[in-house]
Amino acid sequence: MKSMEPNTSWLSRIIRPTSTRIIPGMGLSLGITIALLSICIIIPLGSVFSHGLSLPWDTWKVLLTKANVIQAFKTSLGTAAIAAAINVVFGFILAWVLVRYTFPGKALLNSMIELPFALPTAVAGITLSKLYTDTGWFGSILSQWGIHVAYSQIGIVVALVFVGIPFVVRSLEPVLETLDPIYEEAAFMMGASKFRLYRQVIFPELLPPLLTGFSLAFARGIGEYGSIIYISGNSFKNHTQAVSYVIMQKLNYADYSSATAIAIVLLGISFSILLVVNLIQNHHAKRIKGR
Amino acid sequence: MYVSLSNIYKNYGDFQASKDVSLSIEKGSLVALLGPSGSGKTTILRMIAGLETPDRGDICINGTRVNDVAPADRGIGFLFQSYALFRYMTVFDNIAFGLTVKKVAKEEIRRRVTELIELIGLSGLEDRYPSQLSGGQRQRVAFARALAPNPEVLLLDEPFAAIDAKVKEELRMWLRNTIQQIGITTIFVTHDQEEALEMADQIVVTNKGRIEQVGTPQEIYCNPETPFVAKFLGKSSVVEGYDVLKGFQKIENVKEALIRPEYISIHPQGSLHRYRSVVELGHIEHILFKGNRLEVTLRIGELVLVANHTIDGHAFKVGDAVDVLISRICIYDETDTYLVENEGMNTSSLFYI
Amino acid sequence: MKGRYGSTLLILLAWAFIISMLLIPMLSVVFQALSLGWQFYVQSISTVYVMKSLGLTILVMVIAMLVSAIFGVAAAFAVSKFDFPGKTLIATLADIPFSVSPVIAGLAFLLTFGRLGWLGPYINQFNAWTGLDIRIVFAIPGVILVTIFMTMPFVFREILPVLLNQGREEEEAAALMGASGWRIFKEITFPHIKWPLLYGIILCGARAMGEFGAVAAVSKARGSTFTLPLEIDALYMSGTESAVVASFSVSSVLILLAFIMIGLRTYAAHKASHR
Repeated sequence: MKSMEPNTSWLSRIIRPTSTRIIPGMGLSLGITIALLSICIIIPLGSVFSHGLSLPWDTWKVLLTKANVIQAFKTSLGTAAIAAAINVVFGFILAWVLVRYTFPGKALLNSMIELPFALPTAVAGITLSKLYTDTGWFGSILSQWGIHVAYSQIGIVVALVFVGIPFVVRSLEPVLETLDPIYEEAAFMMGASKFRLYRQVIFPELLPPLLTGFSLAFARGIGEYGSIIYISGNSFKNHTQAVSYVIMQKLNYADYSSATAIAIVLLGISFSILLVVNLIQNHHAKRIKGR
Repeated sequence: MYVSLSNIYKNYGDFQASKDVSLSIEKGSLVALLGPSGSGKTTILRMIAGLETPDRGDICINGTRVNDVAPADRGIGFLFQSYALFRYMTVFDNIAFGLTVKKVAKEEIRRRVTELIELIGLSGLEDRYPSQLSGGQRQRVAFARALAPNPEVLLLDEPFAAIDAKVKEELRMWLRNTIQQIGITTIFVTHDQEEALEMADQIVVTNKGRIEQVGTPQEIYCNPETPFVAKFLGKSSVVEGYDVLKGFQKIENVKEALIRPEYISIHPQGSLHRYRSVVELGHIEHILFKGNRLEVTLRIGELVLVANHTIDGHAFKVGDAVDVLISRICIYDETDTYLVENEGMNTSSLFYI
Repeated sequence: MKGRYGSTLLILLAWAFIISMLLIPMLSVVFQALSLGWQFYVQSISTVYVMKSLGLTILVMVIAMLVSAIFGVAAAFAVSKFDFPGKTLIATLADIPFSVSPVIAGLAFLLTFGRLGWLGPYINQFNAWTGLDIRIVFAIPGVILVTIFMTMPFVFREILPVLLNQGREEEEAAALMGASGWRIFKEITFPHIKWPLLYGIILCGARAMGEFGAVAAVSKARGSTFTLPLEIDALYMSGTESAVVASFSVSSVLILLAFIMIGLRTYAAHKASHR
């Protein structure tokens, strides 16, 4: 039996894992996957990081302490957070209405949610910009009350609400669909008041997808470019320069080093958010499975 | 031996799924791999099929070592627990799939599939999709699909797991008869002892990656060789201090005994004269109605036993004092089991003759 | 009775949001586009610039959809049907483009293929050697590459849950009977992912058609490397009133395309749920 001793080097374990691969096509499919991932995503992003590593420390320090760069991060993070919060509220209403009720025009409403996904961001940008300038359809009404949306941070928020809404709705819908009405009935039978029911039974279930939706909309918002550059006015004085705008500005001056440094900080923030989303989802999955 | 496994080892990470498994199966027999979940029975089946590779040991089918033979070339038919019917193919195409892979002539495929559909009694449903069939019908289609390429060995993974209790009984009989009619060597995995006892010619009991016992259903049930087999089959009471029972002597180092309900008979107090010397006095603690019988929980001193009683026998009530007769017990230590007959019953019966 | 009022209120709120945030803006585009008359509208969407950028947009879209489909099918198949180390890493890497700013995507390709990029010298060498003039950034290949970066995971994201949910047993059963890999994919796996594949490709196409920030970073030549969104940007930023109207006219074309995509998507989703 000695001759049958299995080879247990780490390499053979990778090539021949515990379970036999009876389905053919692993080499091909994995090969295509890794090749495309490397060429289209890993190598280009790697270039950004390797360029970043070659930058001297002083460049980082000087650049990242510049007033306009700091302000741009404040603007992007702030507006993205506010927009994501607004989206959580309306996203919840939309998802709830779409899952729980039937009403005329529901199919239309459902497919309209996709519009911000399918619509080019530049088109959204000029359209919203035109609508909210003081002479536009909405702007002319709002300016009578002294609210100026275009060329202010409010404008950025409006644009980000537009592009972010599908993230929240699509994160919530599957969870709402699986949220068994029996829970509610059970709580109701036990005499829980409506408020208590929502707070103690439904809300805890919805918290993870709400956080996921918020994070996704937030992540999208802090990097957004096309939909906000027209409505924001991009003025340093009015604090309406977004980070992506500043990077683009550097690119236009062929100042790749500054662009890279800012980009790496922004990437760091985005990846942290992605990490948080993953943690939330894992935690949630474990809680549901583990109990 | 038609299918044989020798000294098979298989680990999943730290989990030992097979520990020195050796097994021989005769041609044309219907074998059950019986054991609790996680006992390694499915792993054995999947290794024979080639869905898993053993870390060590040989698997032979029809005298050839098949460890390195591709699953498709081992001449096996496999029935998955979930049936794994191709959801986007009709019943006909599902059954025909294995034949078309083998490039069998169209006419021959039609003939064979039609024959199999008749065999499984689903004529007229050829163009249905799996989603349009009942659980039992799906199982039959999966069975026919596994049989279509004329395999040498048929492997069934928990064939009745997804079927209603009522249909199950009927399907069991049908499957057993059909397999015997075809005469194909068949191995099936189950955790249901009733299923194994009823269907199989041979039962292989597995536990913690090892084979505990191989034998006919009678052997396995009546002469369990290991404590695990004794405990796993039948509904038994485990008792310590069995030597307080009349007619059974303490055997050194053997502390526990197992008493099957069918070893126990209960009678109204004082009615039993024949084996007076070994009759125990018991009290009824519980009576459960089981449809065709009563399950009676008794207390004899410190011991608690479960016995069966016929529906139309004497009507006992909870709290009644009864005469209890224990004909045999099964005592065991760590590794072995011994069946011990009641001494008093043997001698007294001798007296009478 | 209270619940009735609550639901009506919520439905009204939902509609109010959709109408004010989505429908009226879309309507306003049509208004703006037609504000100088039908003739001007037709003229402004048939200029040479628009035609050229429309051609490029379609080219970019088709290639991006193709790459996304190939990646999506291969990656989802690999991740759902096999066990191998680094499986979760692939899924995580595939999520990256969703959270990367389009401008950074542009920067990434500039730093790879551009003047300062580490592949730049090799491309120059290759050109000197072959006498060709291959350029990546500030040329059509760059436009295509950045668009692929931004849209590649869409099909993967649509297919993966379906294949994970389907399990492996059907494929295992077919493989046990000796079916070839291609046959298993074509006859067993593909029918499961047909509609989600289409669904993902449409979404990818919509995003590819509208990609702006990333393309803007690597494309500077109007009339040759501009896609429709860049052409709209050029018209709008030129500032003259007729050019702004023209930019809305071109936008209306993209909006029409977006609505067609949504319609197709709804159809595909409907089809997918009926199986």
